[in-house]
Amino acid sequence: MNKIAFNEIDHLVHPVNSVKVPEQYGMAEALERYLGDPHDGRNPLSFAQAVALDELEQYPERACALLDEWGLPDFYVPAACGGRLRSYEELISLLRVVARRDFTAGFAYSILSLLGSAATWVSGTDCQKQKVAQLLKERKQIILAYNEKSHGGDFMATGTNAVKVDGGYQLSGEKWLIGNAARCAALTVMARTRDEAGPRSLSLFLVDKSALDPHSFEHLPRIKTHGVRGAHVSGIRFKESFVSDDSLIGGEGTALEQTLKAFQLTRVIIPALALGAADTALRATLDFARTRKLYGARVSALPQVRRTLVEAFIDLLIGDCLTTACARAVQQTPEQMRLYSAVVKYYVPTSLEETIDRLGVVLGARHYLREEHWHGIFQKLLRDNVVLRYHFNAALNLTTIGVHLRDLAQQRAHADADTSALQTRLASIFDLHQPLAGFDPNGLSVYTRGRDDFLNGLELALEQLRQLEQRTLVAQVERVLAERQAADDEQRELSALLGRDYSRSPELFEQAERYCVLEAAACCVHLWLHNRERLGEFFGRGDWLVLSLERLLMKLGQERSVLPAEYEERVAEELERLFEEERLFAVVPLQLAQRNE
Amino acid sequence: MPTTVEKILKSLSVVMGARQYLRQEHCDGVFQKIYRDNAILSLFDGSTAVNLHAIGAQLGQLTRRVEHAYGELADLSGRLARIFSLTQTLADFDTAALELHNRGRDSVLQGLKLSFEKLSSIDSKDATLELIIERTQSILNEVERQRERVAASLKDNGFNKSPEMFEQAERYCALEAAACCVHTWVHNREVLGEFFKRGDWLVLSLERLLVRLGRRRTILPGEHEQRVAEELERLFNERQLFSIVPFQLTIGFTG
Repeated sequence: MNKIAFNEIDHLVHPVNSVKVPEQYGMAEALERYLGDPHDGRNPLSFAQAVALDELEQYPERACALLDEWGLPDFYVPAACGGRLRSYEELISLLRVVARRDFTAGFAYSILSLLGSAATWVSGTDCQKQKVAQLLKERKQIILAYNEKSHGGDFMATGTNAVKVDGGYQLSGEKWLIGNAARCAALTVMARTRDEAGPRSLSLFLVDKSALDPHSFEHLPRIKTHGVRGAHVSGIRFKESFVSDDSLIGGEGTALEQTLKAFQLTRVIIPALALGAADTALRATLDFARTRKLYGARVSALPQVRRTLVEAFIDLLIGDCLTTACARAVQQTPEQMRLYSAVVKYYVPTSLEETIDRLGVVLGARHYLREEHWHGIFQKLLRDNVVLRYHFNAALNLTTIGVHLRDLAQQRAHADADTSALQTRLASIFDLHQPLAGFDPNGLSVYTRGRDDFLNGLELALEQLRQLEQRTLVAQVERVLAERQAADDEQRELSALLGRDYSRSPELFEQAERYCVLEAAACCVHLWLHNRERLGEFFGRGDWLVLSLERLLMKLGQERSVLPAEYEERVAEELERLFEEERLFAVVPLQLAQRNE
Repeated sequence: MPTTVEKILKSLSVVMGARQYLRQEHCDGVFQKIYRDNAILSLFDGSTAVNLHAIGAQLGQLTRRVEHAYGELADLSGRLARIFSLTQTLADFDTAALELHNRGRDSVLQGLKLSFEKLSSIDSKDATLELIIERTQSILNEVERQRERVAASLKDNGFNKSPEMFEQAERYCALEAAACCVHTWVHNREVLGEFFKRGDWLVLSLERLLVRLGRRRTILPGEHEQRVAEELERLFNERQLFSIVPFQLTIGFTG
């Protein structure tokens, strides 16, 4: 068993470390203040309201009106198109604030419009971009209408047709299980423009409902869902609906390529909801564990409970590191986003779902109640968060990662010698105080060609850790590197062994899952190295990083090391401090709204 | 069991995709209902934590090496047969015999070696049997590893109620499950039909439990999964319970 010596903890630096909150997080703090205390049931974005509307299956209208007024939709529109979207990092911090209060609002109000507009930002004409920007400015909604009842996420089987007619197209077909289908003003619709198999048969259309003949389409009945019950999920049926030529996005037959690029933006954003949900799950559970007494002591003092709480906090920090890195990479290394967007979209919601489940064990019977403790918010977010599992489903993301593995392993074997360029790119992604490049949709690519700065930069990180004499971290990163090597070797062995079956094998899925864990580990290390002197004492001391790497190594199948108790104690203390000071459980622990007395 | 079923439901929900999330449509939305309902099982009548604690508190005694005298071995063997052979008649239930503590007794896991020996003595070169023997040996190795780890942790003090204790209790459950699978096969091979007897399910069961215990998955010949998948389809088509004893379910009213 791995046993890490007690005295090594002293080797962690204690830099004079003043907190300098990166400016891109200021907006989220402002939004928090604006939304007020979530424990005050008079506030539309409060836990009590969120649960009450969920029970009634009602759309969170008041919450959305409040967010409209604050101007949240302006942050969906890229700055280059007249909006306030300067960075995905900032947008994600805003969505976390919404989702921690009411997941339904985060999903139905924010995410759906972000999904609906992404293809236009990536490949729409200026006119289309202006149109979508204007819709959002008018606080209207736009959605993505890809899904169909008989073949779900298999876009190649799309049955909705777009027949070319004079001056435009006639849309016919049914889109099913579509959030906001009946509420939205516009839709991005995938339709078949050629009656043959193959990716070149599908096209995207920006459909403005107000421009359609009202008799040429109808909304389908609302569908009852397990979670996000207030969201309005239904469908839409087109019957020879005429849309003009200028509604075609990016040319006929380009739907798939555009979609693969647009997903690179949306998949980075979606984990924000899981991070918000997990924050509230941890906060509600911690509140219970701190006040509840069992066997003469506070529940939170029971070692097993404390371990679960600390691990949940660590899971959140890991998810935060990966999400923040991928969000910043959109602007710094867009050509690698096909891989990173799939990694973050798979790993963060999946791992935080497990975290929330484990917190439910601590909360015990209360996690099952639709009232009482925190108004029953826990069971709501437990159900709500599951929506992320199927929305652009987990299997698809793993397949995307899987197809990259061969090139990644090959590229790494011939690692490029230009480490200074790599180091510069890593700093631009991971140093939260560095300004980001403007978002360039043309930089997105459907294939990353074996490039992976996060994991390929791990040797550089190891070198820095050695210079800092971080012996514990050096040993841990060496173990991560050994796992990376093992993964690359296994990739070669398996593809040789399984031949043509490899690309669809369950083994490939497992490899892809492991790869996500490796990426997460790399992001934690880089983020620490590049910010350890400016994100406060707790962040800089790195106890959290030791525990994060330990946790990730365990996910890779390694046996738990026996660590000095100090690591867990200090992380537990920080968790309590953040709770008491009402701060987000995050790498940048934002000030949340104060409680009304 | 309930926590395992929670995991099963989660992995099935990935296959179900969006339909797992609906309170209507596919099978009338029953999946999300089962998903919510099943979660109550790990909460009441001894929550997950309470049960793991009950196991963990006994681990010191349970993992102590037991040297059985010859007569005791015969007793143990008889006891295992009475528990696992579904054709043996059970003794009447004697409520007075229940105790609060196992005092280190666990016939199921302590008897695994006996079933392992029975398997090893079967005169056959069957490849499936060899895989079963190999995996049973791996389980026995894990039992030994746990014995050492618990002994070391107990020396460190503070094992009681520690997170380590809970983790080891969870591992103990996986080991128990593996032992139950092996015993059940050993004692019923001839009476529960062709599929049960072939043992493909047992290879996969032990492999699955070993992965749970942290061992890297091995690549097995595809035929085992293939045959288990065929049986699954057969049971589905013939409307039989997915079970060791796949009894007939009601055939739907189609009139």
